[in-house]
Amino acid sequence: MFTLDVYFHHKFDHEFEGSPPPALSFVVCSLPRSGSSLLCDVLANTELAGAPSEYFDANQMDEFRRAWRVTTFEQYVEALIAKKTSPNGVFGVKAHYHQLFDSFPGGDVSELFPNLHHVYITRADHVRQAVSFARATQTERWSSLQEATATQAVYSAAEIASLIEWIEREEVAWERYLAESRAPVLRVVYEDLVADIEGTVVQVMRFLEIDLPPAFTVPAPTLDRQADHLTEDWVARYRAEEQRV
Amino acid sequence: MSGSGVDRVGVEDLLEEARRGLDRVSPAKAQAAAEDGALLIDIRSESQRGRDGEVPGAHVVARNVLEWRLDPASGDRDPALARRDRRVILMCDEGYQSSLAAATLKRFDLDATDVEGGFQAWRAAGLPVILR
Repeated sequence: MFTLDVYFHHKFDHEFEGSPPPALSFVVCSLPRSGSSLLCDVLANTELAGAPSEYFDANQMDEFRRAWRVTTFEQYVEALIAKKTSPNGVFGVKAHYHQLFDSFPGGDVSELFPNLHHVYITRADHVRQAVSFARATQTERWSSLQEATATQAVYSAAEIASLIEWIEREEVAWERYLAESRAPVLRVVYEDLVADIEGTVVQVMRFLEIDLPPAFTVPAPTLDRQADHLTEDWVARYRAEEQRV
Repeated sequence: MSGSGVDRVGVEDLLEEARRGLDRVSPAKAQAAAEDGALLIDIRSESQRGRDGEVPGAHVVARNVLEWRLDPASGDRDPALARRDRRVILMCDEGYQSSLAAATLKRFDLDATDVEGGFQAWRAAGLPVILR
C-alpha cells in the first residue's frame, strides 16, 4: 500500500476560530508507544485543553502547511497557535524529543509558547514499550484507527533490545531538557494513565490550571488498545530469553 | 597530490564514485519499491516541497539530520527509518545530492540507493504529487 499512513489523529478536527491568544501553553513531552496519543486524544476531546498533536513532525507540518496555506515556519507556528488554542486560552502540542529540537534550536519554546508547562509521559515497562514499537515500525500501523496491513511482524530480540536502549537514551535526553527548563513539569506514567484515564486526565488539567465546569466529565477515548496475544507472546519470550542471558 | 599535501577531488569525482556503488532506480521503480515496503525518503528542502509539491508516501527527513536519523547505530536515529531490513530510497530535487547521501548511508550497511533525476523526474513521469 503506497500511503504514508503516519499517525495523524486529530489532524484537522479540533480547530478553533476566534480564540484569544494562549494564556497557558503546554508540551506533552513524549516517546513513541508511551500512551501520549491516548492522553492527547482525551485532552483534545475535552475541548478545554487545546488540541495537542505532533505538529512538529515533518510530514505532518507539510499537511498542515497545505491545509492552512502557509509557507514559512513562522507563518506555520502563527497559524498553529491561532487554530489550536481552545476558547479558554489553552494551547498544547505533543512532541517527541527530536521533533522539538529539529524545529527549535536548543528546544526552547518558552518565548513562543506563553506560560509554558510540560507534561512528560513515560512508560514504566520498557520491554512492552519496545515490543509495541517494534511491531509498529515493522507493520507501519501506529494506531488502532489505521487499517491492519498485510505485513507480518517478525520477532527479533536484538531489535527489542535496541529499542529499549533507544527509549532509555531518549528519556535521558528529555530529563536533561526538563532539568534545564524552568517550566513546571507534571510526570505521567502510561501504566497509571490506562489504569485510571479519568483521574489522570483530571490531574493533568488541574496541573494546567484549567477551570473545570461543575458538570465536567472526562470524555471516553476514541483510540483502542493495540496490544494483543502477539504482544504478550513477544514480551514473555523476550523476558525468558533475557533471564537466560 | 595538491600543494597542501591533500588529495583533492572535485564534486564530479565524488558523484561518480558514489554512483559506482549504487543500484539507482527510476521514479517508476522507486514507486513500485515503496509499494513493496521500501522506505522512500524525501530530502528536498521545505521550500522545494512547498514550491513543487509533496510525494505521497515519502518520509520527509531534513538533509542536515539525515545521517543521524538513518544510522542504525546512532543514538539520534529514528527507529522507524534506520532499518537494515528495508530498502532505503532517497529522493532529492534532481538526483545529485541524493546520490552522495545514499553512498554515505550504504557505509552504515543500509540497503540504500536514490532516484534517478530526483523529484523533477518523478513529476515528469506523471507520478503522484500533492500540490499545496
